[in-house]
Amino acid sequence: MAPFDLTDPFETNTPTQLAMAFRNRDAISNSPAISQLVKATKDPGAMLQPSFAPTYQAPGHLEDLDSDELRSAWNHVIASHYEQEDFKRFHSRFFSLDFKQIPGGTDVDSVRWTADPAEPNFCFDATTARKLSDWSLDAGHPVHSAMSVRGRRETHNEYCEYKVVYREDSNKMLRPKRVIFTTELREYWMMLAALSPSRLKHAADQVTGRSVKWSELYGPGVADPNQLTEEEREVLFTTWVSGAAGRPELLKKGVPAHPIGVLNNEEALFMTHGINGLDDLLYIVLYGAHPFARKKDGVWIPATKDEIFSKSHFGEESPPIQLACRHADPGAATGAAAQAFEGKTVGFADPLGMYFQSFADQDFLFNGQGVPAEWIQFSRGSGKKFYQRLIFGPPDDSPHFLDDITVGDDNQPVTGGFQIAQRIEVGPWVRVGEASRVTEEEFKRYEVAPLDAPYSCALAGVCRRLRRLRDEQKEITGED
Amino acid sequence: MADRIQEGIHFRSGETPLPHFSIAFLDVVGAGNRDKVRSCLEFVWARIQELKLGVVADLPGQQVDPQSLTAALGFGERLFKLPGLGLEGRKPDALKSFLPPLEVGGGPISRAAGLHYETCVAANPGSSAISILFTANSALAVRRALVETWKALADHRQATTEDEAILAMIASYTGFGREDRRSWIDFFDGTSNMRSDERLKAIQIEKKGELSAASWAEEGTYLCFMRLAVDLRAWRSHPRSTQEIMVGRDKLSGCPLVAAADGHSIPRSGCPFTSGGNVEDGQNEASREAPRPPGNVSLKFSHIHRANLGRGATPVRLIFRQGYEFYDGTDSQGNPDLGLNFVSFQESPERVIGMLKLPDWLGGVNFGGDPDNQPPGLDALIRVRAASYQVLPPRPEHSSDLPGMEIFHP
Repeated sequence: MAPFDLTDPFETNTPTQLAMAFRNRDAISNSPAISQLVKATKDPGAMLQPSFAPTYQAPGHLEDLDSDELRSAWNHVIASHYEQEDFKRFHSRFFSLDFKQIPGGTDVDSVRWTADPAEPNFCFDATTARKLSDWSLDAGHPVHSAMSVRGRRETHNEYCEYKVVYREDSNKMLRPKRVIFTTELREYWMMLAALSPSRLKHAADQVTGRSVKWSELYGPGVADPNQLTEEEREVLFTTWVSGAAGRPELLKKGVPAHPIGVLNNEEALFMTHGINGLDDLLYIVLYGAHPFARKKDGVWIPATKDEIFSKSHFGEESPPIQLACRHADPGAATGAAAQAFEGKTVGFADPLGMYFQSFADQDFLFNGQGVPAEWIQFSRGSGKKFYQRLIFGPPDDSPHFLDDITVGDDNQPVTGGFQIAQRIEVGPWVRVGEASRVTEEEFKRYEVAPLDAPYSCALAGVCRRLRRLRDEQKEITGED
Repeated sequence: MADRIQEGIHFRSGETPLPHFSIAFLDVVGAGNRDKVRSCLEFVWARIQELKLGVVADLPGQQVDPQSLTAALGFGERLFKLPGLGLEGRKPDALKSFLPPLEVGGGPISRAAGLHYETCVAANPGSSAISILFTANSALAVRRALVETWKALADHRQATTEDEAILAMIASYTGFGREDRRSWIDFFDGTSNMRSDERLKAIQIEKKGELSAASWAEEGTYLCFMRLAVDLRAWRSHPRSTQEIMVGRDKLSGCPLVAAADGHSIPRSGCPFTSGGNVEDGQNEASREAPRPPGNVSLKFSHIHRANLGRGATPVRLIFRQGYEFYDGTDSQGNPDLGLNFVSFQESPERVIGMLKLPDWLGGVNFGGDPDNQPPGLDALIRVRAASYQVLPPRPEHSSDLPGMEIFHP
């Protein structure tokens, strides 16, 4: 059998190799390959040295950052993303990374979207979207925990990911018990992992409600992460918990795109999908923060969502029209554009993060009544609209299950997270400045053109990939 | 993306809805099978096509003025659930139904929504299997269309010598557009409708990349219809300032408010452009839309902010509205019996469902305002008499063909 390939474990290894790898995990952690991996960190990291750093608090006003150094490091992460070369073309007076520099700023929660995955819905329909998004194979061998998050990894890309927790009922049948939702940003956890194992463990313990082992956070064989360098901790944490999430410098070091550990798969500590990152959130708000408009009867009128995305304004090879089909990108970009049209500067309010903005819990019934309050647990935030974690459904000591709850006017049993996500809105808090005059030159710079004809979301490239996923899911689950 | 929306939905640039409206709700009442239902519908549809040309069945050789009559056919979820029709597999995934009223009457139209049925409504006529929407230039034309539909159903039964009717008209409603663009609560209505270039994308059911059992509905649209009775007495018991904060606009000019406190409301600067002007006079286009964010917290709860939370921020919930007022005389207490036929078109009912259920949108509130601090009587300002989601198939190639007829063929 070919040796275990760590580069992209679930793409390059067969299930048998994965199973053997897990059985031999201690040997692997001491293997030359791993040692080589963690030592191949001559690159100090892709993070730039930003020219300034904002002063955001921890997302959700959490108390994870217990020192000025950690707070500074978090703001350094934010600023580094903002100042990367690829983002500089989006910079303008209509966006400020420093929320304190937005004159007359008002914090608003109106930039929001529903949390359910849009792509499988516009490619197929809501029923198929639910099946794909909720797709998880039966629990079993721990290696299978990765397979248990196929739906999450492939479709949860609207800045909210969830994990369906299964338990056996009295008939020994596996049933959905509850769902864990998270909107926490991976970059925040990666920063904690590299710089402060103790605060990382504090956060992980808080999220899981138990004492998380170092080996769960940094991989098997790590008894004391304080004995490792920052770079070594980053590589191990990203390998086992967060995945490389598209960061080239980590991929080059052999970190897999998706984490190979169990912890985040099972406990949904934070978001791992490549799109659900701080970089993409910054990108889409930056992208939108321009006075997109066109002239009608001699007057500038705001661009529509489709017009914003149907033109390459910043040198892109092709217009990002596919983004207009999703939930998050239109929500964030048009929210920013609407303000820029009025000459307002926008930025993220403090603290920068992705939050649960609303939840239509009244749409759910248990035994004909509202769902017990203790079955709706928000956490990881200082209060309403600053939460980053939701657990919906009965606890383990309850005899009831998730599918004892119904949703909607047709009283469908809740069988997974998609139905719940449809009733959740997520979004950042945004700070909006005062109006100012937009010059003719500024309007002309971002002038859009009316669409020749509406585009088709169902013809988007992502649908080809999701068709393959749907066919695979049908084959594995035995659906016709 | 071809425009195959049925007629009578005036979303295109430059189009103005015809001023009169009616809707007929039909249901399968006999032991009908699919062929019988199709046959009956085809018979009725053929009569309607003749009426559009000025031909009335009971007046052979005489010509009436059809007044630009339009007709659009829709199907409700009930059609696909009726036993014996074999249509279960053809139901579009997104087609839903409102909650039924309570057996004793009343109850919410949708869980978590703040809209309730009137207490006298114990059955929702809008939950019917089929609907036909009419618009025309005169009140007579849309009412005559209802009557001729009823006649056609009766004539079909006679012609086919069936023991019982296959389809029956179980409810019908009429309405009219107001040339002053105001509603019965005296505020401008429909000010913030979608731009014309956004509408087709927002209302048309998109064609998917592959065929499915519900492909017949692609390039059609979904109708949301609600017959909303307004308690004018309760509304007028509050001063103008309270009304304006509830709506989010100045009552006289329609200009959006930017601030409201201590009984005073401040409209958007520069609106109206001239004293005595209003948002419908063509001089205030730049000021029609409310500023985002709203000027203060109380305005955040206003109707226009709640209903348009997506304006510029969450375009997934844009809908195209084409509402019509109604006036049905006076009730037993001598109060005017009036309200709005809420008519909207959208590519999925989920757009409306989310608006009705999500807090911060219209979830938990009847019309607007703080759910924990509603002005007396305004928590029940609007009551529902009928509510319906219908899928309107795409316009067939030949106007005389029945829209969506392919579902009736095996």
